[in-house]
Amino acid sequence: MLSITGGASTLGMPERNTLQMLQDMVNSQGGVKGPDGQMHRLDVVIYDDQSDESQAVLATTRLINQDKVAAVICCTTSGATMAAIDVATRSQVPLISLATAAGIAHPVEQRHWIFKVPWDDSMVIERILQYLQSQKLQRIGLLTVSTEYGDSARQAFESLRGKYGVTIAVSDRFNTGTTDVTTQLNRIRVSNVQAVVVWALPPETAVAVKNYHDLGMNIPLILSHGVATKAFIDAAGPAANGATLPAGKILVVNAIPASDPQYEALKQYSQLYPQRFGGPLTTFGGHAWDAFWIVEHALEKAGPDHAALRDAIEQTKNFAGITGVFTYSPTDHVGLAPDSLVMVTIQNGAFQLLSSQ
Amino acid sequence: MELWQQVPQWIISGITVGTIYGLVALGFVVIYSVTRVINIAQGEFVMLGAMLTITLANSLPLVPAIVLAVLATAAVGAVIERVALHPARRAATVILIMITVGIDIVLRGLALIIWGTQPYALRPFTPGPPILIGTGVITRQALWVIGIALVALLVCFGFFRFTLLGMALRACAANPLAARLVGIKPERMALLAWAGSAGLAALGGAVIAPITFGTSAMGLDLGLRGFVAAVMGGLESPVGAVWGGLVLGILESVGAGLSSGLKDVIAFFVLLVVLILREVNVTRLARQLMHRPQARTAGGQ
Amino acid sequence: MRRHQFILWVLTTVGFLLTPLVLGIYELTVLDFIMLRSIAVLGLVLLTGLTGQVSFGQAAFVALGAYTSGILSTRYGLSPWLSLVIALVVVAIAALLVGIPLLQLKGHYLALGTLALGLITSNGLVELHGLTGGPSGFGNIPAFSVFGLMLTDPPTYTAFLALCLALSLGLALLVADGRLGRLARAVRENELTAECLGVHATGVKLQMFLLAALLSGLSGVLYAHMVRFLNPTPFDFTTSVMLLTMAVVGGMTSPWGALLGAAVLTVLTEALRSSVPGTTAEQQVILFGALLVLLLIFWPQGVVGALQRIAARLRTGLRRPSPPIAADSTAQPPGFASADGGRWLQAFFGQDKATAQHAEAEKATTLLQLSKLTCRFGGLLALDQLDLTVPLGALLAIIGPNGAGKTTVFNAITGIVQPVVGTMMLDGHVLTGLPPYRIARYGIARTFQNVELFPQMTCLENVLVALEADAPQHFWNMVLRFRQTQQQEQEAQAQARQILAFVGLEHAQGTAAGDLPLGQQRALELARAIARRPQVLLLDEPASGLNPAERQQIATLIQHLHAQGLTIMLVEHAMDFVMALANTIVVLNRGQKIAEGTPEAIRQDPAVIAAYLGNPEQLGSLPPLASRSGGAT
Repeated sequence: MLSITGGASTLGMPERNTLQMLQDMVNSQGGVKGPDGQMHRLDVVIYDDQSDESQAVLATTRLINQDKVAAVICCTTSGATMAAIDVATRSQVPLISLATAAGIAHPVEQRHWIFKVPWDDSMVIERILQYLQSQKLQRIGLLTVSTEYGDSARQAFESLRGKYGVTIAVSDRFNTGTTDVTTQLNRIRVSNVQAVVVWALPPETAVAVKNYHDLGMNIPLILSHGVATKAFIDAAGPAANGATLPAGKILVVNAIPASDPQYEALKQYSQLYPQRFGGPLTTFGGHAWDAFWIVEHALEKAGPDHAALRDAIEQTKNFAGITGVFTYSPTDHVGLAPDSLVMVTIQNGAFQLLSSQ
Repeated sequence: MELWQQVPQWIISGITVGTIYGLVALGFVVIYSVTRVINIAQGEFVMLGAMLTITLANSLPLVPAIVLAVLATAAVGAVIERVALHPARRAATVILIMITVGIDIVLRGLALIIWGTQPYALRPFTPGPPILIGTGVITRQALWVIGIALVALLVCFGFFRFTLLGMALRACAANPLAARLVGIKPERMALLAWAGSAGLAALGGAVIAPITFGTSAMGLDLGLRGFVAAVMGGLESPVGAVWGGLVLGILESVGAGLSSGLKDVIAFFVLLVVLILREVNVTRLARQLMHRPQARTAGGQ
Repeated sequence: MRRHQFILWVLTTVGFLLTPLVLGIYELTVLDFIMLRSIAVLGLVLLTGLTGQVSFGQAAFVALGAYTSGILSTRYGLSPWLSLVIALVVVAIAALLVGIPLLQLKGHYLALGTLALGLITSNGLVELHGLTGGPSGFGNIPAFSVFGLMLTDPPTYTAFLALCLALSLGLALLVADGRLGRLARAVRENELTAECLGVHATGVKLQMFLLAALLSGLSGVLYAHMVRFLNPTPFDFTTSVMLLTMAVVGGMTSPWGALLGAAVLTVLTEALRSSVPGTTAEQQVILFGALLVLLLIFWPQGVVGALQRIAARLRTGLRRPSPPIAADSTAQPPGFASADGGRWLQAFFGQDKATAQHAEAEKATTLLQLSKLTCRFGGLLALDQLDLTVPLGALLAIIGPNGAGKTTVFNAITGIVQPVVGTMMLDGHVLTGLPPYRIARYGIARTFQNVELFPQMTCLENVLVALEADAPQHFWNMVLRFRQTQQQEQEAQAQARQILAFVGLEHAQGTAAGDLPLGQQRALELARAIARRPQVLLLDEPASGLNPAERQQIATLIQHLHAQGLTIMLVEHAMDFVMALANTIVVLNRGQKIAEGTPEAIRQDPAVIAAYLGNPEQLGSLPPLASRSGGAT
């Protein structure tokens, strides 16, 4: 269940497209081969939660009780996921989330049925902090959006920065849908920081990048992995050049060496998706790819029984996906490590890998 | 940098954002004063203006693109009036407001299908670096926004005051029955009001787009702020609408400068206070003067 | 509450309670959401539908209820039941704090004010991290439990919600059908007239606002303990709009509309989720919006309105013609046209403290005193230092040319217009500066030049509003003092019927006031004035637009009322009417009094003739009443 309309639709649409594409691909090859040796057709039922939690609850209930799905892939936003977790746990159906909040997979004792694909925000932030440390950037300004996305990042920054010797000199917020953050950026501009981190989704980040440019700022600009899409570059225009961000390897797929364990998966996805949809490759679509294959492989092993399926998912080891290499365990329902993220920079309207980072 | 040194930037940002709100508010005022309808979908006209301009500017030079976008949006406004509001013109105000909410949903949905969710950029009208004013900066496009808003305001003012059509519109607003008796058709005036208001909003959108990017979801927030600005200005006065927009923009900017998270809260809180103060002064007075027909004709009794 | 409403209420409650036995988990979940929303929308129906106050901020109260209960039961470990109660108290306090200033605003300003409230609340939820968990919200909210049974799954929670809905619906029905609902509708239809009848409009609006807030808050609490996770997203402007949409679609004229609207829209959203094959989610959203617009254009009364129309059509089809009312029915009080009219009126007026007031007032002979009364409208001086003394028991007519200020005098006395200079005293009480409802409660009633009724309410209801204006029921009394309320209702209705019979409108008691012909509308206005048991009656052109026979009847009625001891002031242009009735005439011209005296004196006063009456030869000797039609210049 995805957010195809509403505030998170930038993320939900590529997710939806990817799932549809994979469903067709699997079925055209005869379907899923279950543990009984038979081929079964795979049906992916997709609902839109309109980025609204009540809808999320209703749709999840419908998926579980009406459509009787084997597993639920939900949701695009953290808020919707949190609302749906209760339903899935009560009904004892495995749920794989495409959202980033840490609370989704932690505390793992209470999340027996819940798994997630995207990195924990703390992981992404740790990657950024690693980068900052390697570039000897110690005083930063932090600008976050006032949603749970920005919020959880802020918390992660505060708790992890000490380890990497970084101080947050100026810290500010802005709302979703804002058309101007000049005031906030100006505060950062006039203080003595060495870099500025802007953490938001594409629409607001594009505005921020533009304001940054208009203010004539030139300290290093680091963005969130939420803008790791070509659409962002198109919107922000030349003002985005020079910005750095952590991203999944899918963004710079052409620069990934064949020795990388994710090479095959990346190559396949980067050919199939644009072929069918024409649109750009996104991390979010990549999350959907990973969720799909994790469930599919588990179905092959264990069939659609909820408990068995859940166990099979938890036993996923070294699955090379788009987001990273997954290994779940009873104590880890996130399954990833920070090295699945790479630092990329925007140059000449495209993402470039920053190799040594 | 000291706090007071940031003030110029606050003011500049506030004025830039405020003229945007003022343009949106202007459209509200036009529709409201002629038809008594509060058009919740007003923000979507701004969005349409921005998105159409962006799309057309890919194949046309900038000025024809803007003109075409404005005309197209005006046409959309006219169609909406005919199709959705005219049939319901006798309904209660609440119903009419709700209809505009439904229209807002439809317009946003259509925009989502056509343009998707990502932001689109439009190059500024004149290229060049921003201009430094003291400790603040103002972009060239912001100057365009302010300039065009002023021109739009003057044209509006002149239109309503000095042209026959403008006076007919105002007559309709004051007393539709009397207007009808002298040969003015309120229905045609309503159509004009919607078309004009939509076109005006579209112009605003086209001018704003280089600064804020066009997204299919940009309408609602802008519409809300514009509504607030319009009411601050009195809902019937174009000048008031633009002033309201400016004040709102500056309040927001200063609020953001002092404590960014509370930006919205400060603006709306001050708004509430302003409204209540107004009520105590204005409406009690209005009650005395013109609340019931008897009281009005008491002057003639 | 009428019987058929009650039966319907019982059936609905039982129906909802039985659903867990019949429906699957998914359908029950949908039903849960329908019920949650219905509770909130009930409040909106009462506030917007009944009282006519538009609110875009109900989501704020939903949020307040949800978060208060959620925070209290998680962070402070209180029992959910206790949290529920405290949350409702908090919501009530907030509603009063916010409502008192906001309800002074009218129309779209109120809409904007509530909109601002909603946005501030929404923002506050995001910003006050320490309290609310900010944008991420918080979870682990405990569920309600009854004797150890946890109310978590749809079947148990559905039953629980059904009970809550039943209580809310019952309360709403009691309020809507009772005294408070009537007063609210009067305020919606014609607030100024209601105030002139003694209704404290702001008080009524505040009660409804409070009730709407409480219902919204309850809805929020129930939501919090059902989903058991809260963040700010569900409580934004879109939600307020959705609630209002549900009210409109269902039909705002009746509490049932709340359930219907919530049901229709929730089911619609669910059905559109995947039913129309081949459509994507984006297209579904457009369909929803288009459907909404269509419903509003063609069904603005909502589902309830459509049902009511169908029911009305069925009723007229099925109804047998009612037998004519026997002309000599002794059980009914006689109409005013007969000689017995006076006796009934005496009995009616003797029934209450009006007599005590009379006894008091008899100590002085002056009842109403206006001194140096000056009223301005912009640059126009409508009244110029007017001095007027109205003795107790007078029948005083004010005449004069157009623009003289006659109606302005009435407007000033009743508080509709505030004088710039001057004072007004009623029997020792200062009237200047008081709002209309306070003045009305001192015993001043008036009729209007253009008949001001509550057009969509029945004649009976019009009179009832006047009877009950002084003492609106608090909504909690509807439940707490149920039997007493019902009894009072019966008595009031009986009295109202008698009054209607007195003015000859008994046959029309169930007819909407706006449907009556003009003569009967004026009679209804008078009935309403009588119902106030006033000391002073102000009649503004009571005879205009009436034929001679109707005029005769009105004149007789006025004489009866005068004989009762009422002090009556009359503005009229029909000279025969005036001359025959009044014992004192005051002549105004251009805001100033130019003559005062008995009818004979006035008739011959040269200043009056010059300004108003015209050439004395034309007048001759005026024959008694009922032979001439109108007479003014």
